[in-house]
Amino acid sequence: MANPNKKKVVLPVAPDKEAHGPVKHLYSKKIKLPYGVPGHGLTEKEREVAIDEPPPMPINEKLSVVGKRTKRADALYKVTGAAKYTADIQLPGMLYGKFLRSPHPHARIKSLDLSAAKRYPGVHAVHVLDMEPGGSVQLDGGHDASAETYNIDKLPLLRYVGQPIAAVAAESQNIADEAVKLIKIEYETLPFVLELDKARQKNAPVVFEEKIEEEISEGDVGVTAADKQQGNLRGPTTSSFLGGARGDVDKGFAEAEFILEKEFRTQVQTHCCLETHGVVADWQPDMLTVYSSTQNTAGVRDDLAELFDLPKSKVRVITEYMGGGFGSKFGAGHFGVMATILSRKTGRPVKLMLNREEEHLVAGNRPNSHQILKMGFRKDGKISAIDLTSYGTAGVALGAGVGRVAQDLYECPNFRMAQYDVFTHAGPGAAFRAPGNVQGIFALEQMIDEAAERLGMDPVKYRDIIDNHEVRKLERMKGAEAFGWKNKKPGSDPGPIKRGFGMAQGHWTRFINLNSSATVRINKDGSVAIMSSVQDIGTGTKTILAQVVAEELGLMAEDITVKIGDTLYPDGPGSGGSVTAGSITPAVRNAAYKAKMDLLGQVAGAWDVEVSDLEMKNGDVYSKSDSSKKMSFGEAVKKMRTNQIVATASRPDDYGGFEIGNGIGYGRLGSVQFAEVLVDTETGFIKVERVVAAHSCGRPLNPMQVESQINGGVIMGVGYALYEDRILDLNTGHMVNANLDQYKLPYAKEIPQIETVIIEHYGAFSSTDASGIGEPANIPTAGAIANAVYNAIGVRLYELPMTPQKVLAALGVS
Amino acid sequence: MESPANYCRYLRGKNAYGTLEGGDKPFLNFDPASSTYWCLLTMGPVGPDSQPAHITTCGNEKRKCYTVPKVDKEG
Repeated sequence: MANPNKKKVVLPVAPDKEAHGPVKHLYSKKIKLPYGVPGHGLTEKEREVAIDEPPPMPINEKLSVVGKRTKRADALYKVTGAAKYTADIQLPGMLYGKFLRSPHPHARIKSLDLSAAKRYPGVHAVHVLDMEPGGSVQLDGGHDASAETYNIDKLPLLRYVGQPIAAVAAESQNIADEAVKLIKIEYETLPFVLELDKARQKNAPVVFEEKIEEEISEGDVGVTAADKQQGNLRGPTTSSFLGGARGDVDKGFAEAEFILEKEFRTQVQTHCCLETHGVVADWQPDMLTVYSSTQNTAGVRDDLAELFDLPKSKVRVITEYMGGGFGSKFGAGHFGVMATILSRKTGRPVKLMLNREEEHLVAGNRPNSHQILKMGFRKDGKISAIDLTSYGTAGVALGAGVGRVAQDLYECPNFRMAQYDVFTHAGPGAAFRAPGNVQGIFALEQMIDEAAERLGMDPVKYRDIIDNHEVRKLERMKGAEAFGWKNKKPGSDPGPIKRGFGMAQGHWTRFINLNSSATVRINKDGSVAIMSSVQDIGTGTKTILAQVVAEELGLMAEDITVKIGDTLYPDGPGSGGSVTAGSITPAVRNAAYKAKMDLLGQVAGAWDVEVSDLEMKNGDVYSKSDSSKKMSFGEAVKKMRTNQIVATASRPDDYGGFEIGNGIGYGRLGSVQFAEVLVDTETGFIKVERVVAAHSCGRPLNPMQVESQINGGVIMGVGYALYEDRILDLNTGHMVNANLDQYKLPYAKEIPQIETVIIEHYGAFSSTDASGIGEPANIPTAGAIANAVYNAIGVRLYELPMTPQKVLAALGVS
Repeated sequence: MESPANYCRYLRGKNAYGTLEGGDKPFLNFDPASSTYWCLLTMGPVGPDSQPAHITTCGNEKRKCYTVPKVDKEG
């Protein structure tokens, strides 16, 4: 897919170019793979690939298992409760942990007395986090183990409500909960600031007092001399891997027929995974075993091995079932480290799961934003200049940017951006389903909508002029057809409830994690197993892996046992950035192909035919040239010389090499969504009636699961657009809606009718040519709803969430 | 092997590409505005010296908590 701004693409530079350069092969072959969209000019693309790569996988309609609607491999276990999540793990002698957390947004600890907590019956250990380098993992943080009071100089400055201070391990959760209340602690409270705008003011309480002298490494992207900190303001970041400023922005505005300049605001959205963050840590002399609700088993293993100075082989992390992460469940987490410390202290397993309140406070959030977006448009609609300035707060953390969408979704020769972080005394932000891009699209797509109106053009047709991405163009066309876009008559209802229609779009880079390996094992009893540390975070990874192997071996998906989410197996990728399907399925297919070739070689020997004459399909192994030579898969495996055939493979580079490098491809995952809303002009309530979501994710491996992920993305987008908002008490710094009652998520009544349009798009990138869908499904929803609201009532809302109060205020209703 | 990166042994991050672990993994700082960072020692966004953990500051040997990356202990 053409990159309209490709002259400015900057390659992200790995620290060691030699270690991470493209792989060269001694022997290679040329193969022709499907390329494009079936029914829309599908062609073939010739690629030179390693000699042991499997043959090209045909398009879905020619396959038996891949591309078919296949029920989840673990559906029965989930609906019957047989599936064991981390919170369900019970080990003999297990203790329960509980954190003491800061009740103040900014405070110094004056004294700390653990004696009463230590004496409480059933308590086995108390551990205090201190700030000495390495102190967090020492048995007593460098203190006298028998001490009951602490050297307060070693204790951290408290910068947000919920910051962890200490934890206890006890024989039951109730005992732990009570014991933690017995820790006597005195605080010196300090001035604090919670609001984005106030934190930017010169006289605001400062979150970080001292300034660090920074050094910039060669190859870093977006780090400039201006990437500095003044008060609570840090930045700006002026570039991404797609480059920085380009062209002459002022000249671009001078050439514009008209200029739009608007300010947009988005709220803090907290992570609300159904399964809270947590672990069960079991420190034993020969092995540290950690059951973790994580998006990256290998990453948790690596963290704990590094921190506790253990070989990776002595740390085992298991995630058999996982209840959602959305970007927040990477790394061991403070709870994971604390549980491990407490287990090491007590010699017993320790379970430490966060409760729902803690989730809201400390598990991460999507930072808020204040975006000032200025765009120039030529008479023909082309964009002549874009100037973006944004401010956002990730609390005490960084990363509150608004993504790359303004930079690259539409062709524009003149662009610049300045994205600032603002520190506040609030819980840290975290990656959250398409970090930055969701905020950015809310602003950008309303601007495009406004420009279309100014030009007197239909918003869909206008995007056809300014967006030459072929797949998104197809998504707009197919989505509009499914939605009935051209027949919609907005806002004309005679009563107080107005109906409106809107659309928005987004994109997502195709990321690949090359550290993705899997083993396929064929047993002599006819069973087949896949093994990898890759985890299924609820998206259906187990099922697509089974489908891929079943397709290769001519079996059914239910014939395949999938054993994943365990670091005893080969490293799989972390599941974030929509990388999982595109990273691990080629490794799995290639391992299955190797195992198959091994098996066929042994069968060919028995039949005295060429391996190339043999085929595996519909549960049989047969000769293509001699119909008398045919047997079932079960019979074929009995000819194996060993009890098992085992093959392991890793994700190779993209066929043809990565377009940008280091696992990053340019082929954008398009997403276009259409929304229909009702707005009650008397009460201000918005109801999203219907969403049509048109998406591409390379080869859809299991359309049913792709639909499921799109549904989830749209529902999350509805919550972001209308309901979710972290409300902090400005007097205390406490979150007043740290629950799932007042922190409103969409439930059955708020979920619209969702229809999906999946574009089967082949790019000839790998042996499965699959990509992820998690992020793209969530990006355009709030923008589409905002445009539909404007369409309904004729007044535009520039701030999320679009609550009834904001609707009424916009309408001038008091 | 020594990590080719000059980043602190305990710096970790997450961006759209995935987890940034340093050490034997490439530490790609390709979208700094939307990336989050934390310190493995504190398991929070603040380092042991009470300053933010970030790719622009945690490669700084002048920072008192900076720790040189160590040999990978695979196996």
